[in-house]
Amino acid sequence: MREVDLYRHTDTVNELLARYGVKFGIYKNNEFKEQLFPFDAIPRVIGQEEFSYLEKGLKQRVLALNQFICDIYGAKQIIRDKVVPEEFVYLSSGYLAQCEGVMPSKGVYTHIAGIDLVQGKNREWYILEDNLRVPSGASYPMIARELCRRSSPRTFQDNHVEDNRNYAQLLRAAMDHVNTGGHTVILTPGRYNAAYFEHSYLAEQTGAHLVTGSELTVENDHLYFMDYSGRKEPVGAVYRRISDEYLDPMNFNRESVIGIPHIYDIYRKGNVALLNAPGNGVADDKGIYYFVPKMIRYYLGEEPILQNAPTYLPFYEEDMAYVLEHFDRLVLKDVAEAGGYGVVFGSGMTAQRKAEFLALLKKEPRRFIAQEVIDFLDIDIMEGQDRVPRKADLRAFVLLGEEPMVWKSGLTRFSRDPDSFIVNSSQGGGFKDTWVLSQ
Amino acid sequence: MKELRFSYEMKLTFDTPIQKHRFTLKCMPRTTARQEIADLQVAVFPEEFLEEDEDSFGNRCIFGHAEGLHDCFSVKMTGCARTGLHDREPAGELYRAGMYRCQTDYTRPGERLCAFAEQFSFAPEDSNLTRAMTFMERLYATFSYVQGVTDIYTTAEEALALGKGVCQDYAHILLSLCRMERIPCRYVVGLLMGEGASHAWVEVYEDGYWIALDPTNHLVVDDAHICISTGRDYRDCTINQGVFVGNTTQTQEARVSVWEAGV
Amino acid sequence: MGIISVENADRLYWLGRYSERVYTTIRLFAKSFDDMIDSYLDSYAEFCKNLDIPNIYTSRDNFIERYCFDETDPNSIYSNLKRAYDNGVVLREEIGSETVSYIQLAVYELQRARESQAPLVELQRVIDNILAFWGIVDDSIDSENVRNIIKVGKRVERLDLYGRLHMSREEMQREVNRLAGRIPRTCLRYREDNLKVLSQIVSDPVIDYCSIVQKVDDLLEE
Repeated sequence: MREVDLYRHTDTVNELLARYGVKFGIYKNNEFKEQLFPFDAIPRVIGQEEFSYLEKGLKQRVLALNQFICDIYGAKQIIRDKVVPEEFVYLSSGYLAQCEGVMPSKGVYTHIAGIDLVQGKNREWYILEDNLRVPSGASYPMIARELCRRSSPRTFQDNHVEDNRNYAQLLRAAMDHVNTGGHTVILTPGRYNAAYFEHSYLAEQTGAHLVTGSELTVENDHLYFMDYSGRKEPVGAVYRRISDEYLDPMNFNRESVIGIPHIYDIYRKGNVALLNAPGNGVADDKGIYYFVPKMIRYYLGEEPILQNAPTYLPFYEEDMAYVLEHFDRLVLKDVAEAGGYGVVFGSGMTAQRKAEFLALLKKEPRRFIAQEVIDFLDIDIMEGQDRVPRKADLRAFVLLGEEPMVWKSGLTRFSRDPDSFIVNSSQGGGFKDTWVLSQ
Repeated sequence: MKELRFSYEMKLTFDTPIQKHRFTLKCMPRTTARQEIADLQVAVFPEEFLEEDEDSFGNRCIFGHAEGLHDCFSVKMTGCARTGLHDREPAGELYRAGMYRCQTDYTRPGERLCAFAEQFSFAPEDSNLTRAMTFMERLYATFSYVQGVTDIYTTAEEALALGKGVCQDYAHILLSLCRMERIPCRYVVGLLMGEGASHAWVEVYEDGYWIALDPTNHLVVDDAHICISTGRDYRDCTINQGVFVGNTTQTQEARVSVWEAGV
Repeated sequence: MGIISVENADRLYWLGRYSERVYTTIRLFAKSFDDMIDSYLDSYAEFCKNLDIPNIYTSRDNFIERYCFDETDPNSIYSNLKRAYDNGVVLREEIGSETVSYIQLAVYELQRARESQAPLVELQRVIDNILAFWGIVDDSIDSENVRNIIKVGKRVERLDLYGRLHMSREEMQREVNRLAGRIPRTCLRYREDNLKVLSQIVSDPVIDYCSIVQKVDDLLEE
């Protein structure tokens, strides 16, 4: 990559991001605040060949995950064949008995997957997490690219970078593929959701309507969108950015006021498509993660191209023994938590804390996974005038339409704190564009 | 085998009128290996929009909504059932019943249930049914049937701590005990011969079949029960569930009659 | 496309109203501010009276600070701009990121004005952005319906303000005609009689400004 002019324009890009309201909302002391998502202009650069390897691996993984979900809510072969123990399925918080026997439109359960990867110092890529429920983040590099090109055209003359502004077309293709006839809408919990910018930006870019639950209604077994003049327009696909529990008070959380009563019942009948399909969280559970390489072999008869971070399940006796023996160098994750919470490092514990934790681990082995701490390959960020190395991950987006599609970009998040491994935006930190070179 | 006639009437009254009322009714029994249902008549008021489907447990559902203001909501159902056609219901292979082995929010054991479970010891060759019947016997001996002390939100653990409750509580406790033994088991809502309210009991997986036990009455279900719905716990089998707009207090009356045809 | 939900129709209308309120009140404020520099130090009392807002201010400086920037004062320019922003930010897919950005920029400029010794300079930039916002509404929003609802909001607000300010007959007639021309081009439900009465009032020998404000506020049906 040539030395780029762009770095000098970090402030310009951030100003433009502010102009377009590229923010995420957070609650601090019970008050809603909108925060700018700090952008660092040094991109993560992935070569063409390397990306095509990632692309193959990601497609393979998402196809296997989708088959797994279809199997779990259908024939359950993988349970019968004891590849995945049933308790990991039924006790996962993403498993929904209401989905038993449901085959969504075109057999797609994971329309939009956000797969988190990290690169080790050995240059190997490892999968950290599969996010299948409502993965967010694609809008940020998408708009950042637009603004970087505006701020520093030279950079994109001198470097050959795949255009990533086509994410909206990929998303539209995934939505159209499963649409059962009617308008396409994006369902948001509302403006006070952390990802509201993304919801509204994706609606604008895909030409879908942005709606809240109260604007949709189920009638005669179909879903309608109500016009202000009283017209009812049929809806055939809902890209919902609210979680399963809140989708339909008649079928899930009965207290939900942001959902649409009976939407789930007409979805089961095949009269509307929901993206992502409810219940697909059964496959993005941290416990199920351990089994993904096995799923790839089981369903596709292929060797996994991308590997998991080395993971142990204390549920299995031999893994428990290993975890106890090497506790100090492992990271332990509570399978029920997300967003960087419920993550502890064996090395950082006091003796008392460790004893307490081990007692809990022995009592509820199913609740935890243990992983080797990966020696991340750091990425530079600008801190004032200096380039400093920081931890960063990559969220790659895989969309299932007619064919699996991997977006030639991704969200690279970094932590500001030099000692932190946690790059989640809800815990501070910023983002970078991800370049995939086109030659 | 019996020829039964049944009627189910439920009426909700709202002290101030409500609107935009959405409801799901799971009140209709269906024909299975054990029972044959005929002449089923269901009347819902108000009946602006009604649709039908099965849920993922195979239960029959009516989905409906009533937009306009109304101060009452009622369901009347009548029909005939031939019961006791078989003593068990096909359940498929064990791996397909896995979800019924896992505890739910209603059945998850706490200290009380764990302590209660400790008094049992089984031989490895004891069948699921033997274990479940042992639990049922002990439960029937120690737990008292008392109305009004528990409600629809009471968990198995809470009910056991109270030592008393109604059919829903008996069923949840038995489910919890069976699931601690990794026995797949289901919650059943249905009607029982005589006059009164709807009833709840349990089905236990045994060799590819569901066998029904009524822990409230300490018996193996024969031909006096009509099954309406099954699920993992009470929640999956709620007879009437609704959301509406309106600030109101509601009162529910329900009446069940089941009698032998020609008697 | 081409369908607008009840919520969004409402937001478009209020986006039009609040953007107009900010625009016109800044222009009035600028006039008043100039008076207060050296000649007519407590002219803010009259300003409040004209606009029919409570005079809760204790001094010239207090008025300048609070009327412009106080987020707890519901009549402040800041509060009105914030309401325009709150309506705009949830209309991105309806009116476009580019359009929303001008409202966002107006907010940033107003925040900057607060730090300034010469706030009229930044306030001018707020006005520039609102004018740019109206320009882009006209230029780049394809849906006629969306455009017209924003404009109805703007016209209603202007008539309301002009009524309170007792503007000249000529101005009043122009605004009534503009509103009457715009509103049938939307699907908004409105009271036709009110519109007729408005036309009547502005040609009466003595204009009943009070009734104008009343009829305007009561023009749209819920």
